[in-house]
Amino acid sequence: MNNIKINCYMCSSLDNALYHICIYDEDDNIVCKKSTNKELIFNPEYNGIFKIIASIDNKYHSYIKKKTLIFNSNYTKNINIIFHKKCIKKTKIIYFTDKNYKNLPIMKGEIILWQKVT
Amino acid sequence: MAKSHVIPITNGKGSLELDNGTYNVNATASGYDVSTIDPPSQEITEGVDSYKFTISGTGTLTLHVTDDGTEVGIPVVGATFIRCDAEGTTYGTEITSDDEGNAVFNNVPFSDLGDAPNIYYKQTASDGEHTFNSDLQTVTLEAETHTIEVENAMAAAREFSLTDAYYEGLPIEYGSITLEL
Repeated sequence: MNNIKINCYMCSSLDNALYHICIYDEDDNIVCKKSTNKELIFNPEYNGIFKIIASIDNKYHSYIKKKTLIFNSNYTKNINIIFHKKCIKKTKIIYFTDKNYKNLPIMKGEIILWQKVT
Repeated sequence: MAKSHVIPITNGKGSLELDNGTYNVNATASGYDVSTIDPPSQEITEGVDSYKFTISGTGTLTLHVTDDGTEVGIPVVGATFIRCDAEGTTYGTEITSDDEGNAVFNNVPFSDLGDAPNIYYKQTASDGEHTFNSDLQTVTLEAETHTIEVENAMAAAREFSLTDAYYEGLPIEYGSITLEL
C-alpha cells in the first residue's frame, strides 16, 4: 500500500499551529486519529476511498476551522490541506448626492461597483 | 470575469456587504449624466464603512422674475431662490435674478423619457418693492433648458408721515425715511 503524506498549512501565516486529523473509511469508521504540527504519514491497510477531516486549533479564530477531503489511496501520495482566513464582509454604507448642490440626495438610483481583477 | 455589485439608492443612501478591494464605479440615476460619477474608482478598505459618491445634472432651469409673471413684464432684479428637497430643506447657494430678471439654476437633472426627477426650490426674497410667494415649488425638466415665469407683484403703496415729536402734527418739510429689511 502507498504511504500517504498529509501536509497541513495556514495561509498567510508562519505560525506552527496544531492540526487534528481524523481519517475515516467508507463505513465512517475511524482508521487514523492523530495531531500534528505539520505533516502526518498515513499508511492505509487497503486501497480504497477515505475521508479526512482536519481541524485547526481553536485559538486561530480568523481561520476556517475545519476542512474535509475525500481521496482514493490508490492514486494519492501527497495531500496538502491549507487553512484560509475567513472572509468577513462588512456592510458598507453608500451616500449618493448631487455634485453641484452639496448633500442634495439622489432620490432614486444605483451605484454599481465592478471589482478590478489584479 | 469581474463581478458587479449593485447598491440600490433611496433618498441618497444605500448599503451592501463588500469585500475589500478596488472597484470601478458606475451608476444609474434618472435625469443625471452617468459619465460624471465621482469618484470613477473606489478602494474599499478595512475599517472604512461609509463611502460617498456624487453625480451631476446637465440641465438649466431659468426663473424669469417680472412684476406680472409674463415674458414681457418688468424685470425684478435681486430676487433670490434656492434648491430644496421635498421637505423644504435647502441645498447649495442662492441664485439671484439679474437685470433681465433671470435667475438660473445650472446643472439640474432632466429627462425626455418621462422619468425626470422632481426639482424643488423656493423664493427667499424679492427686491424689497415687490411681493413674492415663499412656498416650496416643484418642476420636472423634460428638456435640457426650461424657463418658468415668476410673478413678483408690486407691493401695495404705503403712506408715511414725518412730524416734529414736540409739536404735534408739525410736518418736517424736507427729509427722508429709510427702511431696511
